[in-house]
Amino acid sequence: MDILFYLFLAYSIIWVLIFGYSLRLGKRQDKLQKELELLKELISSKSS
Amino acid sequence: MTENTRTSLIEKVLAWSTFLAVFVALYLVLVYAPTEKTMGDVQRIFYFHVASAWVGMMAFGVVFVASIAYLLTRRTNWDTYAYTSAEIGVVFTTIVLLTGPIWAKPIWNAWWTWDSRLTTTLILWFLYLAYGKVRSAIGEEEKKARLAAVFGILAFVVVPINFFAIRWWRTMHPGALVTSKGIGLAPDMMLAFFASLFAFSLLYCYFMMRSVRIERMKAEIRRLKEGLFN
Amino acid sequence: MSFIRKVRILLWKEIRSELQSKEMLSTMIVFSLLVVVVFGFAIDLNKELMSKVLPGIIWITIIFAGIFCLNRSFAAEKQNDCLYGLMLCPLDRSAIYVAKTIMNLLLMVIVEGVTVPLFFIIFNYPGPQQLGLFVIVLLLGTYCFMAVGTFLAALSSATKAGEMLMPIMLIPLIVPVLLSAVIVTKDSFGLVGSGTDLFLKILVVYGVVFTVLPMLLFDYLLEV
Repeated sequence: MDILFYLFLAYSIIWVLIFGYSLRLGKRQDKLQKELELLKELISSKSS
Repeated sequence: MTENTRTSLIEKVLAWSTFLAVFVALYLVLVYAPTEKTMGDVQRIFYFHVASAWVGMMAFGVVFVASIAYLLTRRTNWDTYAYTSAEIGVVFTTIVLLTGPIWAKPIWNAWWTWDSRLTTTLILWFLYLAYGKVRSAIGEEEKKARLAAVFGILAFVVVPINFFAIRWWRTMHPGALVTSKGIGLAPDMMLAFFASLFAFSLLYCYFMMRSVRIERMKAEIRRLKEGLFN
Repeated sequence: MSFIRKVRILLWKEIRSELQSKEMLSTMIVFSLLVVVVFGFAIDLNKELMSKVLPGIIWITIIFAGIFCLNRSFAAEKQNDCLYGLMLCPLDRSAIYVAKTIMNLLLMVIVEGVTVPLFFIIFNYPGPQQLGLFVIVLLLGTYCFMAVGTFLAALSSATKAGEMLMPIMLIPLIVPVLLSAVIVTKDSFGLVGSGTDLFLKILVVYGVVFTVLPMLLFDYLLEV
């Protein structure tokens, strides 16, 4: 196989992993943000 | 709200400078650095491979220090740093473990050998996966933080072994980059290497910042929920 | 009371509770004999291959039997909350760790005393060339293994999935011991030429590190 193929493979794996992890963090954060807002709403409706 | 806007500003600046640094590093690694004579272009894998390895080890070092700090001070912040750093360390070690075989296949004609460096890196990866498992196996927050810190200190013992492995055991893995004789790379290559190291270090900081914020949100939710049901 | 005296009292307690049931020792010996049999079946060995594979087989058996032993060592203390009783004793908690480690080491040495000679008989291999070195590496490797293992057994007994978690934490941590021990064992068979004293040194350093670290950290482990 062409040697450049390995180079390409390695670099695509690196960036897939990094972007994948970054995306996962973003998703986690969105989910928590929604939950947080829901909770805050709940609390404010309870106290009023 | 000012606290929040300030952190998000720092995060934005960090994100953009990371992006820029990665871009510059990519240019230096793929275009600027000269092609290695014997290995050819595959050698360009080396830059980010070694940079990930260094950042991974640094991340585990942070786990070690934060674990000690947690046991001494019992501040939840330290536990958060230890946990997030371990996770990011595993991500970077995964990069090391995947790019290594891709480089090895055309050079050694085998994806994997049971060489000391490869083996100890794999062990490190397993150890910090186990660190995550320890955390998820414990319910109470305080106990989780305490036991994880104890394991985080213990697991770090393998990091120096990994570092010195290529000096102790006979190995096929290319030698130490920085030796007592100086640095074993051409200046152009050195520049590319340090650029990628710098870029990945920034990336580590960026990931840390985001994960720490996520952990803070989790803690906030827990606090609110407890308030709700009491 | 001096530290050694405390350890002696605790060790005596361990030995008596083992002598009462003899459950652990007999089960461990039967288990490791079964491992010997399985290896005998599974790997069809000729004489040349044997000397290359035997050190590895011996150490794998030791590790299986050891994990077995370690998982039991703190599980017994969890019945009737005996561990809290121990923690209430006017002792340094690290004495508990030292006593447990010595007990586990004793059990393992007995088990090895039975099974390792059997290996040579069953696989029809003449004894090691350097018997002294072989015994030393067996003891040293087992000590390193038990020193790490006893500590992690205490750690995992505090978690929900303890028995499953323990090997996951333990095996990566003892791979350096395993690597060095296998090389020195091969040397005692007269297979490796030179350079094994380095691995003996690694074993010694590992043993020291994993005696000091657990003793420092054991207090944090057993907090209520």
